[in-house]
Amino acid sequence: MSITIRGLNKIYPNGNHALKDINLEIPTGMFGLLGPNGAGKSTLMRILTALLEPSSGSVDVFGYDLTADRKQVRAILGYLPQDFRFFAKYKTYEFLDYAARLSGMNNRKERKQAVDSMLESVGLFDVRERYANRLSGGMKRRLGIAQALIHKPKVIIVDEPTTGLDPEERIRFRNLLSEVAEQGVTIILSTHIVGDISSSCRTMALMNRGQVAFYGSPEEMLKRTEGKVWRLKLRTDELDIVNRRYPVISTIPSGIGWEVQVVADDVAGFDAEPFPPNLEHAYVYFMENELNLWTND
Amino acid sequence: MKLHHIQSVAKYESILLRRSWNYRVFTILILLFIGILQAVTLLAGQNGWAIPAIPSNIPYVALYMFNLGQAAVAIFLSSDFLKRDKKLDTSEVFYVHELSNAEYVFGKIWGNVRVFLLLNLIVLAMVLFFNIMSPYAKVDLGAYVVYFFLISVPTLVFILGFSVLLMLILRNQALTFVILLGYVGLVLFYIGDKFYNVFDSLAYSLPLMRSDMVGFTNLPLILTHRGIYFLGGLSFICFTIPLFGRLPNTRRNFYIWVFWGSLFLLGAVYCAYRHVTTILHNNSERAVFLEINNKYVDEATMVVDAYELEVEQQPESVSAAVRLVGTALRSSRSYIFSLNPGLIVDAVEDGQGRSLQFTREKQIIKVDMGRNVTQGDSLTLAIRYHGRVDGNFCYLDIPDEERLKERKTNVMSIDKQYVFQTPQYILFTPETYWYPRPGISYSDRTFDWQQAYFSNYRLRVKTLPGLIALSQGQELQTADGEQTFTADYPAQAVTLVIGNYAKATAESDSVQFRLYTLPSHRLDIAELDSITDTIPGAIRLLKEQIERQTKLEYPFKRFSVIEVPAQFISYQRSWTAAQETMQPEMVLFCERGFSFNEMMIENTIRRQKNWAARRGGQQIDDKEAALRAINEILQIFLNEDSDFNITQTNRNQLELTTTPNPYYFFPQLYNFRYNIFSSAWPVANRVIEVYLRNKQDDQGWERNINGISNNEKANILLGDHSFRDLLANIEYQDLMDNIIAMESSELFAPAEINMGQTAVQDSLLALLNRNTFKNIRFEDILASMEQMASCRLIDILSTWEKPRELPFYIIKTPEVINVNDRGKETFVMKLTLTNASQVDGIVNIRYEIGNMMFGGPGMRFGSAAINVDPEQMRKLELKAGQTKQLITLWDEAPRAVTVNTMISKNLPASIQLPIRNIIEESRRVTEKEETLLLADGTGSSVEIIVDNEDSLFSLTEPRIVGLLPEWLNANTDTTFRYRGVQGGRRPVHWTPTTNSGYYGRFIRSAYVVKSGDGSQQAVWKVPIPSPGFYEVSYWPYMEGGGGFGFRNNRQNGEYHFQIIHGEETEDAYLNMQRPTNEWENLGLYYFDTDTVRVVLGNDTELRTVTADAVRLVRRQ
Repeated sequence: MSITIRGLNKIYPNGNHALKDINLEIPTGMFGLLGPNGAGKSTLMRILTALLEPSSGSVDVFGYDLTADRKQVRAILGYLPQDFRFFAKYKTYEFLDYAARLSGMNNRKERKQAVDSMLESVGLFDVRERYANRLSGGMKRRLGIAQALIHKPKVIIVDEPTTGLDPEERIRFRNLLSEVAEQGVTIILSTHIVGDISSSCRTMALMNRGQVAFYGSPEEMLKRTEGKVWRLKLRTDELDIVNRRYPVISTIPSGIGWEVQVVADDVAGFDAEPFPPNLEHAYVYFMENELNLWTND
Repeated sequence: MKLHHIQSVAKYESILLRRSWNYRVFTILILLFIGILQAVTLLAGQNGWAIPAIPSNIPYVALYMFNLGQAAVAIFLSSDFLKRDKKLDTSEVFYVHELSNAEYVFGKIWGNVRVFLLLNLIVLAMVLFFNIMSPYAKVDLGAYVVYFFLISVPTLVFILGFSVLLMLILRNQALTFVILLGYVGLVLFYIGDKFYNVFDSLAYSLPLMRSDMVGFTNLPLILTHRGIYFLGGLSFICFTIPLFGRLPNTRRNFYIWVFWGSLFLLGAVYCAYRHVTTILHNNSERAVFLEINNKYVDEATMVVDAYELEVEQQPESVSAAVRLVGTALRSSRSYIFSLNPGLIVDAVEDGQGRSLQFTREKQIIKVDMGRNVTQGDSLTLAIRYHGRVDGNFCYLDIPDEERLKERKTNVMSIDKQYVFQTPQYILFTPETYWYPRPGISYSDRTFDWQQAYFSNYRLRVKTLPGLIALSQGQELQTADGEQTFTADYPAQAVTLVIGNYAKATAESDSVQFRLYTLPSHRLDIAELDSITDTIPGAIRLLKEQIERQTKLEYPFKRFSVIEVPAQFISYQRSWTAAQETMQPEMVLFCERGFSFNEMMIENTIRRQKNWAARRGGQQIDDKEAALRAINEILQIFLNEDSDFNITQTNRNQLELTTTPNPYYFFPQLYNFRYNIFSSAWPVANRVIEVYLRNKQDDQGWERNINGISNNEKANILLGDHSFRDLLANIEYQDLMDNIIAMESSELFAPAEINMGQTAVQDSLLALLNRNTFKNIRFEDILASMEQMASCRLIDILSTWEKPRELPFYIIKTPEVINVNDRGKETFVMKLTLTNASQVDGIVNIRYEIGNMMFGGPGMRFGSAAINVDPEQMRKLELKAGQTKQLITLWDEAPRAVTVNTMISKNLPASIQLPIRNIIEESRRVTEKEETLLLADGTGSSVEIIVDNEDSLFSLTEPRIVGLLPEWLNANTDTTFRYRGVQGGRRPVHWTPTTNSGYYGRFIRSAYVVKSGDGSQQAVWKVPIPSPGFYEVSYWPYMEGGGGFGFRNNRQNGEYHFQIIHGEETEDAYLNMQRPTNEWENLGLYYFDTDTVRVVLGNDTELRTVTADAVRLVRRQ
């Protein structure tokens, strides 16, 4: 295991118990951290990046204790925060150069090569002289990941990376991460977008209210949902009843009525047929049935 | 700690800073500002001489200015970086790297510092460019480095450290910014040089001027002071690290930086402690010196007739031997001498070379003669000593407050030094007591120490190689580079200067004029070469002019102007006109004359040309212009006052003060030649001197500004204190000349009444000239004068011991009749004066006849007395209660009479009465010149006058007019009741002021207030003796003639009066467009009540309203 988390707790000074006894094993490759807003994902990320001190518990990163060996841990970390803006007056290549310098790349020539090749690989070489704040949203994210990767870290922590990106950029970004993960790097991808995880992570954890609600592979999570997804054909007057009774995944108008997908153990009294589940269904089912969190109100 | 990390953070922090608009705007503005300033100062030469004169001032002033700006901007920018760090997640991508907090914080601060340092270097490079291009200034490269480290570096480190720390603690940029700017403002505008400069983080008031001759004179003080801020800044930076909002790499780091922070803080506190205690130690040491002087005050002393001094300069000290021969002033076994406490006495021997016992306590040497010596016996002593002269011993009589007061020229703060002793330079003036002198120095228990005596001096000096010695007397170069100086005349003291001097000479009228400067400070000015042979002539003319004006002769065979370091300063003393800058036959002139713009000779020559062209349209050639420039420079030595300062006191009052010119030539003619001594009155020499200078200043612009003249202030003080007390009171030092002038003028007044002023002065001079270079007893002089003038003078001295009752006089408007006797005009003037007090007094009357102007302020010394017909200057004695009428006859029309009431309660003390109405009569002249004694000249049965000084006059209570105006008008100084009412700001409250033009019995005063809505009123309650018709008049004089007076908008200006009697109120208006400055009629009224109230409101379109006097005259 690349990262082992034991009995991790975080209580903020205002009394908010953000993380409750978290125990996790994070293997190399892409690891997805899923959960609704406020589940404690960001707190966990910030602890893992040594930006925040845990109240108790231990984190072992490639054999280093996160609290005692902070410097060593930092040396193998790359981080792309959620709200990633840029200093207005840095050029694209300067941003990478700065990160490279801080990672201990002393040799100017080597550093320049590394920066250029990284710019090439994230497709930003042509805009290297442009001020970073003039880049498009997708380019900014790519620059973000580039600065996290520049020093070839063993662990990369990526917080909500695809928020606000158009589908094309999102796919491009996921592919970029996957490529990196292939090189034996641990990537912790925190997101509330189910699609990010389903397409790239081999292992995942679902967090809720400061706790790990599920840990395993996305397939295992899907398996738990098999036979629990239904497609219903409804009249307009029935739609309201279904909406109140079941967690509705999608509602599509069809001819005179509606075609609705719901997750439930069983559906009675409606024109229902089973539907093959995806991770999004699994996430909703998990929230509804395992954690009883779902509400349509 | 990895340097690479620090450099990386610094590099990108600098990039951010350089790309910020705030920084760019600041850079452009500051470069423009300093560039223009340098261009004006160094290329155009338009910003005075003080900066270019001393080359190190150029970077000093530039960095001084720049430093103020950079402090403010650094505060803003540095507090900004933490705000940015706090707000943006972007910083976190750098936080996750392995660099430590210390590396990050140091990197950030170094990034900011280096951008500012670079800007400093750019500024310095620009200044250096102007410096090199300047035709006026030399380049001192070292100074560029020195001031960079002394001014910029500590300030930057401190300001950045302080602002970052504060930002981390407060976590609010706006608050941090306000607090820090407030701090800078407080330092600049309030604290300044207070608390011994210890809070002066910007080195705003710290004396940092560096002399070209001796460099810094206070380097340890400067270094500890700058150390406070450099170490303080480092300490704040260290404390920032543990407070920084990022988890440290290891917990241990937290303690390391707290440790370093504390260590630096301790260092800073130690520096502050050292800084303050050094100054306080000096002060307490001075108190010890004084205490010791007081202890030895009653010990026996001698008068030295001859000194033989031998001095050998060593790199760090001097060794000296002195042989003195004199006379015991008292019988005793032991005698005391004062020698600078920094000098160590090695041996004392008698005339036969026998060793004598002595004790040394700080500055005192008490020599046991080994036998009883009788008063009048001759004594010979030889004393050997060595060491360094301690400047702290000088001017024990000058209070710390004055001594520690900031000394600024332009923006440069200059250290105050009284002695210099470096391997390259020595300056020992008598004030340093560099050789043993009998008795003690300053004591607050006696005045004896002020007494000087003439002695003969012979001085032999051996300097270090390459240096020359300068002193008084005939100089002879002996073997081995030794120089001997033999004084031509006895002197009160001797001065020694040693340095690398270049000499320029000119001979004129058997006096050798010599100019000693540093070789690099030589006046190598092309224009001057053309007049080299004319300069002696110019000097001779000037010398003759001075001698003619003062009736005194320059006694010495040579006159040396010796350049001394800029830090040298002297203080004024009440008992002498000579400051330490003036020594017999030499003047110790400030380095390159930096405080005199005239010394920028190229400019002075150009200005002379421009003036000539502008005035008469005449073109003068270079030679003539150079000659005029030299004359202008020579005038420096003829000005009694060097500096006129108009300062604002109490927020609304302008105060004009003058600083005596330390280079005033007069002591050469008087003080170093005559010595009138009196054990009771050490001021005696000064009394005679001031009397001979005929110093009179009164009326005029000084009075308009201050509201009271210095003579009037002196009068008021003499009514409250004795002359003796005032002499000892440092608080009134600036009025000392006036106080002495009042007393001296009164002292000789009885003689003048009998002999006339000119004769008295001539006789006094003759007496002095029979006793040049001798010690003359004051009492003997008075006795001689008494004999000559057949009057008593010595008794007057007893009035100097206590506060006196002052007389006051009522002076009527003079009557003038032009008597035309068949074409021949004779002007008959009758002037009536009454001494209305219980004490006798004397007034001085001056007639101004025809068109000739004379007297007045701003004239050179002695000139007030010349060319004045003695007939036009008269003294008149008025005994208590006497009224006298002076009848004088003139061929030309009198223009005015000025009555100077001398020491009196009159305000103004000097009353100018312009002659307005001359009555024409055709008849024979029956009047003759005489002084009539009248029964009573005051009062009149037909008129009733109520003046603002009377109890029947009242003012409405001042209204609250808003806090700000109240504050601006606050007057806390109540020493002198009457104030000046200058045009700039009009008084919000009724303000008492005096002027010859106002009505008054002996105080010609009025109240002035800003015009308004009529709610501020002056009320005269006039008693009505019996019902009837009365003509009501008003005295409408408005101050406004002088340049500083009011400029009322006279358009439609009128005063609004209400005349209230019984139930009736009648309005009356007085047109003030052309006031006659005499009684103006308000109308004829019938009154049948006991009293009438005349009310004047401030509702007028004029700028101000003046409440003075109301007159009622009964009409049948």
